[in-house]
Amino acid sequence: MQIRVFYDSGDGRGALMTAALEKGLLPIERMPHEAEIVQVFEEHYRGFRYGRVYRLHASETSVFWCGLGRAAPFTIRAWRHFLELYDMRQTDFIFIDCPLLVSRKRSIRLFRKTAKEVIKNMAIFQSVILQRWKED
Amino acid sequence: MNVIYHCFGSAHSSVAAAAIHLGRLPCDRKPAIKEIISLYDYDATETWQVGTLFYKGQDESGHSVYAVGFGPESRTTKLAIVSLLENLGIDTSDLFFQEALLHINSFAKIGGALSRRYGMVRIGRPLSAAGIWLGYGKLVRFVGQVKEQLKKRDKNC
Repeated sequence: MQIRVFYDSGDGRGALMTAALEKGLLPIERMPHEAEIVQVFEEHYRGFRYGRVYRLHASETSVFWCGLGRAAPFTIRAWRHFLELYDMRQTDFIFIDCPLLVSRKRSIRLFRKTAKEVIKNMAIFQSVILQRWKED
Repeated sequence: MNVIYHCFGSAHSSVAAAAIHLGRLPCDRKPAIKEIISLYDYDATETWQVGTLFYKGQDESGHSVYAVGFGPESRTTKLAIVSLLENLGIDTSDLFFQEALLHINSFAKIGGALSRRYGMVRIGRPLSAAGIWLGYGKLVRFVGQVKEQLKKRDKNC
């Protein structure tokens, strides 16, 4: 089973958006509506905690997302080592670095503001998905 | 049980704690600064190795002892490791994380930063070792507490 972990070096919103595109929670063939983005945030971003890895969906390909802040560069290496400790097959895991969202507000009421930023920068999230062959 | 001593870069405090745990540094006397510096892994890791899990050996009770650097956000990294493993259905109760950085003094921290971060090895390495030497008793007590906790856990298993 392939496991994809989308992470960013911020508060995880960029990772969540990219993972949502990957899982089809947001459309990739057209620009998502603001309401669709807000819905993803409301359903999946509540109770966000730095470092916690969230599962987006259980299916053939498991998709996880997380926000790692300043810990990102060291965490990826640590993940690989701990996977080795538990004899997990390294090739099953793909860690995908995602773009950051720069707006600082994270409260539910301000998800709309974030959604606007996501729409404005949708291309960079789509680029991550389109470049996953590099990781494969 | 996997005992994991962690600090910023796994070069000084976690290395010294693991060495005390495994008997490579004494726990009944203060070693000479030279003894600390001459540990094969003391002040040896590079920045790119932060996050690498270094196996240090097996203790007298059969526990595997490791040292790792978690960088500036150890809580976040620890949570990321444990939550990924748990999401994969792995039982992480055999991971016994212990933060060694809290048990060394400022001399050791400054010396460590000078040597590893700024490349001033000739000043930083002896300064960090002197810092560890000065606060050696605290580090020994910390390792002693870790061993006590391990004994309690072993009894409960």
